Amino acid sequence: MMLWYKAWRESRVRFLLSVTVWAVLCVSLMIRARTGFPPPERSDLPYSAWVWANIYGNMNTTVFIILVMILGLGGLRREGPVGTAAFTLSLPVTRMRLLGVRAATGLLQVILLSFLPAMLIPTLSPLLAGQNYPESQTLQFGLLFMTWGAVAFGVGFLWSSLFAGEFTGTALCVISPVVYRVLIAANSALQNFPAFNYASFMSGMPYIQNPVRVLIDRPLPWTTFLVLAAVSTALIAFSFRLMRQQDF
Amino acid sequence: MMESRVIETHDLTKRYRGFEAVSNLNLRVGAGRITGFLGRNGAGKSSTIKMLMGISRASSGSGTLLGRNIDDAAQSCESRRHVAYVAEDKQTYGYLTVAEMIAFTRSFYADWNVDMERRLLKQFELPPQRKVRVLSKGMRTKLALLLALARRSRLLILDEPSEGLDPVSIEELLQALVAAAADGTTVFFSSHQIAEVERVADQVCIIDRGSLVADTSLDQIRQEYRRITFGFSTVPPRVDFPGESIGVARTDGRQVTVMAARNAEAIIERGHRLGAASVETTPVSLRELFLAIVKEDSHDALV
Amino acid sequence: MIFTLNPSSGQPLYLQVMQQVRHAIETGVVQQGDVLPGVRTLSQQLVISPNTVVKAYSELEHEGLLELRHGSGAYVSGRRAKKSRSDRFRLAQERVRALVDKLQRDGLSEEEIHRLVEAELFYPASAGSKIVRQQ
Repeated sequence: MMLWYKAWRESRVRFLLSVTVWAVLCVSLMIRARTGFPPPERSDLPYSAWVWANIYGNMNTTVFIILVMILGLGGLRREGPVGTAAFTLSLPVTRMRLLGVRAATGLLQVILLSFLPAMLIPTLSPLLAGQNYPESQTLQFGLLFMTWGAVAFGVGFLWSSLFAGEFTGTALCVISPVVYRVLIAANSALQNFPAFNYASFMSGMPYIQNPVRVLIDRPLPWTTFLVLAAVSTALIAFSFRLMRQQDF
Repeated sequence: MMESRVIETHDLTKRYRGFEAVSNLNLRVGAGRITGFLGRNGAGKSSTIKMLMGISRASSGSGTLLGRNIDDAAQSCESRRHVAYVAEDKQTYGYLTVAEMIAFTRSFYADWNVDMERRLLKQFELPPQRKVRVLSKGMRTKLALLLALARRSRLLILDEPSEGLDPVSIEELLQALVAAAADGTTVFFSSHQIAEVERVADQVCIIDRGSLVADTSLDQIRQEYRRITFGFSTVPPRVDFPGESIGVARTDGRQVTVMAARNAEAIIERGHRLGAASVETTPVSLRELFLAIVKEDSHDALV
Repeated sequence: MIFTLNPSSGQPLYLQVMQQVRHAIETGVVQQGDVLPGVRTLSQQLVISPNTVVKAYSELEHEGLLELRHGSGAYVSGRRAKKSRSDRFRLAQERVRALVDKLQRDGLSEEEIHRLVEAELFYPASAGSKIVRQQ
């Protein structure tokens, strides 16, 4: 269906940019591992820690969230000032379908992005870094990234339903994850609910026992996954509702 | 034969921050004709059309498009299958090429006419491999027109289609509209270019300040509407033709002039009884009629 | 056939088309067996609504001047119009009304118009004789 093609074309640049950024991070960490790893002062540092630090931990989570939130932008609201909204809305498809296709395309892109390290690191580590990294770990981290990523995508999708300006949306996508992270970290009451802190959640902190090896060895929180999925769905559904009433 | 209405509205209203762009509009457009929707800028033409197409929502009132409710998302979607539309904006996706844009649009409509597509592509001289965003304004308009005309739709709705086109292109556009009508498509187009409407339309609906102030056939205007000027040999009496004329009678020296809507003879008779020394009747052009109607503060003329 | 239509005159376009077709037939510009353009073609050519052409053609067919053959077009019929007397009279009335209107607007009085018509009936200009204007 041509609507999928439209959604793809309109998100193509952002998606490919995100894939490039993420792929570059993956590949560069593997290449640098040949020379810069292990660091002379910590010669017993495991490869898994290197991987974690360079792709799953710290600021990387924020970068991922920003990229994914930006993926949620675009759509009909954006078409208003561009002038094509009337044309799109005159097509014999419902608004729900238009939005649904865009949301589905975006979520598929989020999934791909979340599991990109899973495709690259286990296969290429022996070749580029001369190291091994378990596939199962990348898959588990992938799940963590995917579920919180879906929430971030939902937020971006909501921004796109509220703001027509290109800069407003993008600015929000860059600022809000940072602001959120700061606020959550400062709130002591929320420390009991690690899922609220996306940085901590996505980097697997609550599920890692050994801080040196930084491998996930506790069972993953399937209920939390469902809750995150529900939050993402709710955000997208609310956007649908907003767009249904919108005049163009 | 029962006349079917392709467009029908009941007290359709659109409010923007306390201002009514469309005000209790009762529009009726019949099938198989070319209907011109005439009005000044800001009279409510685009707002009306957008509501009909489901692009914006009515504040109150209702309407049907090809018999289906315009407020219902599913019904509106179903009607749009059979409606070809050219928006006021005439923009299409800048990141696609002309050929890609055509292929995209074609995929949505079962009534697509490939022969017409090829013919129009050639006639409009649109470069298929060029990206839409680098097209000139005129070319973009022609592309938008092609996307609507390359179909055998039941209804063709155009919002100011000739805007941004040079006279030759306008002629091509009108020819295409007339060809579509000959193929059975009902045409409804809004314009503030009176000459175009006067040439091709069978019926004209005039909208002013959000309300319908005229709904008449062009033949009727030509045949029955007359400007009647009486000459008096003395100061003319105060004449008034309430409800029978368009606008008020105007006095200038010893002459009184009035525009008759349907009953020229009755008015002439009246003038004679009032002692008019001479009577002159001239036909009324659409432009004259339009100006006479929209210049009035109160619209009591002909619906 | 060449048409010149005036959308702003006080005459519906279909009547203008009819008049011009009739005139063309009467003067031999189009003759029996000639085909007039089809509805779609003529409406595009003149840039007028096809409904106008349809109406003109069907009225002309009704009058016996055209023969509409489905699919092949409008043929000029050999049959001269067998119009009923009332039709011809109605047409004559319209013509007279238009003429009188025009003459009055040109400034002629009723008396003058009356005399002109009478004179024409007695001494037709086509016969080559001159009209003597009575003072």
